[in-house]
Amino acid sequence: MAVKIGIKYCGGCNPAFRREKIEEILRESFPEAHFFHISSGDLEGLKKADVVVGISGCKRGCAVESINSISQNFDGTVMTVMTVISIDEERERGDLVAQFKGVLEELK
Amino acid sequence: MMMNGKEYIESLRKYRPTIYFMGRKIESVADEPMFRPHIHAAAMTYELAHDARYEDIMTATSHLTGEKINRFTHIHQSVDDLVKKVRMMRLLGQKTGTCFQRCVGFDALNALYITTYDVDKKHGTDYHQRFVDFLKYVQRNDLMCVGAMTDVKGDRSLRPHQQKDPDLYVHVVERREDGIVVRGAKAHQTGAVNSHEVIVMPTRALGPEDKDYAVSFAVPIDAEGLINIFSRQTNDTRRLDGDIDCGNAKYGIVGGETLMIFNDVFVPWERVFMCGEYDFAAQLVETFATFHRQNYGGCKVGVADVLIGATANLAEYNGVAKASHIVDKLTEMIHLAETCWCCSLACSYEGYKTPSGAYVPNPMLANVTKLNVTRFPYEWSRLAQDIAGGFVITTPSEKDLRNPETRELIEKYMKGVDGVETEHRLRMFRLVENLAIGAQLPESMHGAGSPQAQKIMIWRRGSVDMKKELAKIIAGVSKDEHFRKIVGKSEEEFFKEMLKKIKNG
Repeated sequence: MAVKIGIKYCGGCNPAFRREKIEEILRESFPEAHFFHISSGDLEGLKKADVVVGISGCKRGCAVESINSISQNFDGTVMTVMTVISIDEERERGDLVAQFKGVLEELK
Repeated sequence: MMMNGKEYIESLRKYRPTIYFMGRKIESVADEPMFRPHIHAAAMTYELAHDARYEDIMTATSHLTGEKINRFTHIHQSVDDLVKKVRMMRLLGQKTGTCFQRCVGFDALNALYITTYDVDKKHGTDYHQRFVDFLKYVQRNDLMCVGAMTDVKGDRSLRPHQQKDPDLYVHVVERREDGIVVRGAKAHQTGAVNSHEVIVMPTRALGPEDKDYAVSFAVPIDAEGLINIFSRQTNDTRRLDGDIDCGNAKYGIVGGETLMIFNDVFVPWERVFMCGEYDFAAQLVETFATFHRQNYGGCKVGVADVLIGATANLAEYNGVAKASHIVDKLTEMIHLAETCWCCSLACSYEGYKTPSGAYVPNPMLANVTKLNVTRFPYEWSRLAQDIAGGFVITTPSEKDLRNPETRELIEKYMKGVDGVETEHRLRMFRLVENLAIGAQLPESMHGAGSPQAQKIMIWRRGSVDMKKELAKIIAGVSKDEHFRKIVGKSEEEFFKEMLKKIKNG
C-alpha cells in the first residue's frame, strides 16, 4: 500500500527559500507515495498520514509548532517532522532525499 | 551555590592574576580603586539574583543539574529563556548605568555549547562532554567568565598564517600528551580583571592553513603566562578625585577592558573545546556574534533609560522641562531607545532550537539590533547634549565645590531652579557627560563587532534572490500563481480583456 505523506507548511511570512521546492523534490523522488496537505487544526488529516512533513521557511520552524498544536490531543504517532532550511544546493537536495528515505525505512 | 554581590567581590581575592596598569603591577584586584567601579557593576549581576523582585529574570534552572543558578551561567532552553536574557540586560543597564561585563562569557558558554555539539557530530570528537563538565563547574561555583574572541590581528589584509609575526592571532604552539600550549593576544577584553575564568574562541573564519588558529579553551584568569594590561579610558583618573566628576562613581563607564596576552599558556585537554577544526571556526564566531548582538538592544537601552532620566532631570533643574521642543527631544530619545528594544525582543522571540537542544536568537534580527545600536545611541546622546546645555562640559570640579574659598561662589552661580541643590545639578551634568560623551559611544559602535561585521551577516542572510523573484512576480516578469486563481485566467488574458472593455466603453 502506498505510504501516505501529509505535508504541513508554516505560514510563509518571510521564507528564506521557495518552500514549495521541498514538496516538488519529494514528489519527484517518491512517485509511489500518496501526498496530501494537512490544514491548520486538521486532526483527521494528521491521523491519516503515515509520515508528516513540516516545511518551514526559516529556522524558527513554525510548521513544527503548528503540527504540535494539532497533535496535542492526538494519541497516535506523528512519524517525523522535517524542517529544511535551504535547498539552494544539489547537496541539500541529496540530504533531503536521503533523510526522507531513512524515515520511510523506519516506518517499515 | 549562587554568590551575592559581596561574596563575588570576596571571591576575586582567591585569584592571583597578572595585571598591569599605568606602569605598575596590580597586587589586589578587589582593592584597586581604578577597578572598583567595574567590579561593582559586575557584582550587580550577582546581587540581583538574590532579590525577590528580580530573581525571576536573574535566575534559571540548570538543564544539567536541575539546580537554581544565576542566569549568566545558563544555557537557553527555550524562546522564553532568550527573551528573559534581554530583559535581564535592560534591567542591569538600568541598575548600573554602564556595562556589567558578564554577558560576554555568558554568550561564549552558549555558543560553545551549540558548536561543540556540532563539531563532535561531524568529527567524532568529545569536545561537547568536556565543555559540559566545564559548564557544570561554572554553574556550581557561579563563576564570571570573560569571553575572549577578538585577536589583535596585525595586518588586517592578511590571514592568520600569513602574518609576519605568527602570534598576532592566538594559536597552538605545542601539542602535548596532557594538553596544548597557546600563544597570542586578545584585545578589548571586557571585565577580564574581575573574571574568574577566560574562555577563548577564534575570531574569524579559518582555512586549512590556519588550523593551529582554530582553538578554543578555558583557563583560570590567573593561569601561568596569562598577562592582562588594563586599558585607559577618557577621564578615568577622575574616579580618584571624589564621587562627582566621573558621573557614575559607583559603576564606572563601559566595562574596563584589557589587552590579554597568552605568553605560552598551558591548557589541559579537558579544558580544550576546539583544536584544529577550522571548518567550525566561522560557525562558532557567528553563533557567538548572534548571541552578543542580541544583547545590545537590552543593555544599551537600560543605560539609555538612565540617560533619558538624567536629561529629563536636567531639563527640570534648568527650568525648561515644559518647553515643547524639550518634550519633543525627550520623546525622540525614548523612541530611539525603544526601537532598539524592539529589535532585541524580536530576535529573541524569533529564536529557534539548535541540534544541541539549546536555543539561539534569529541571526538576521540580532545583527539588525546591533547595527541600529551603532547609530541610535549617537543620536540620543546628541539630543541629551542638546537638552543639557553647555555646562555638560564646563562644570567646575568637585574639588572646587569642596574648596571653602570657591564653594559659595559655585553654589550661587551654578544654581538652577529654586528647590534644587546646586550639587545635585552638578551631579546630573556629570552623569550626562559620562553617558552621552564618554566611552559609551565607541563601545556602542565597536562592541560585539563593528558595523561592517553586521552588514556582512545581514547581506548574507538577506535572501536577495527571493526578493528579486517577489519583484519579478509583482512587475509581471514572472507568473503570478495567486493572481491567476483570483481572476480565473492568465495575466495576459486578463489585461487583454480589460483593455478591450475599456476601448469598447
